[in-house]
Amino acid sequence: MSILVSLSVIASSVAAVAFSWLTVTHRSLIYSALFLSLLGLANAAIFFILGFILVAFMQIIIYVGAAVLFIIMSVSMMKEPPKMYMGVKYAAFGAAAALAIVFFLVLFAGSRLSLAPISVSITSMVNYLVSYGYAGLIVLFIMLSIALLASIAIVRRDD
Amino acid sequence: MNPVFYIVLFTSIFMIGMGFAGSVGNRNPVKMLLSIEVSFNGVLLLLLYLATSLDAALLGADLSILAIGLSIGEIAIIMSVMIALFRAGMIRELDEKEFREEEAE
Repeated sequence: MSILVSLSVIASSVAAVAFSWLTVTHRSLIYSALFLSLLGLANAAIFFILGFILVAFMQIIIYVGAAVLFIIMSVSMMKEPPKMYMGVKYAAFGAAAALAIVFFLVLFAGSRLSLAPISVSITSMVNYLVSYGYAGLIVLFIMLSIALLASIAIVRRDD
Repeated sequence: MNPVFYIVLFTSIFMIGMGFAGSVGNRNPVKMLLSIEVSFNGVLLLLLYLATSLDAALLGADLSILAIGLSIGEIAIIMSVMIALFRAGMIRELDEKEFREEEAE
């Protein structure tokens, strides 16, 4: 493992530890949800460096993109948004920019630097999932459909 | 094994512990949900670390994809319950009680 990859893992791990601490201890719910999204990005960076490329993209697209934004929007509806402190805003943007730099370093320089300790290709993952995890996919589809219908029913309930 | 992997292991265990402490120590239900999500991230990282260590990369990757998909359903259900509780006026009461206790301290 090269020095660049080691440094990327260490930086992402430090960011993940800091964001998990901030998510749990920050008093504002909206900032906690924001730090949770940054924690998801740091986790995705570690997944990427470990070689799980598809999992990293799923984490970013589904977890950070959909779930955490859903939490932020819901929490924003519940309470008045708190004051925006400039230091926290710049720290959040700085952390997101640092994680983006790590991603681009790994993405563009990784193919020449013996990037991952293991290499899990997307094709083999999908083949394995379809052939051995077929029942799991069906259960996931049914449970997500039930969750969608149940959440709509709960929110639209009047009494 | 490369010592960098021990950093990943420490990170995942720290996240699981922080999430557990936050879910036990907070009375605000949204904060508890966020703490559980921190724990979920730690478990996901631990799962992929173990998959790397035990040469079961495909199994670990597919399990983690299923876990990410399931967590979406969990978040959707819990947040809809939160919105329903908020419309019933219970979330606001909890928040005010918590802030009152903090002010008293």
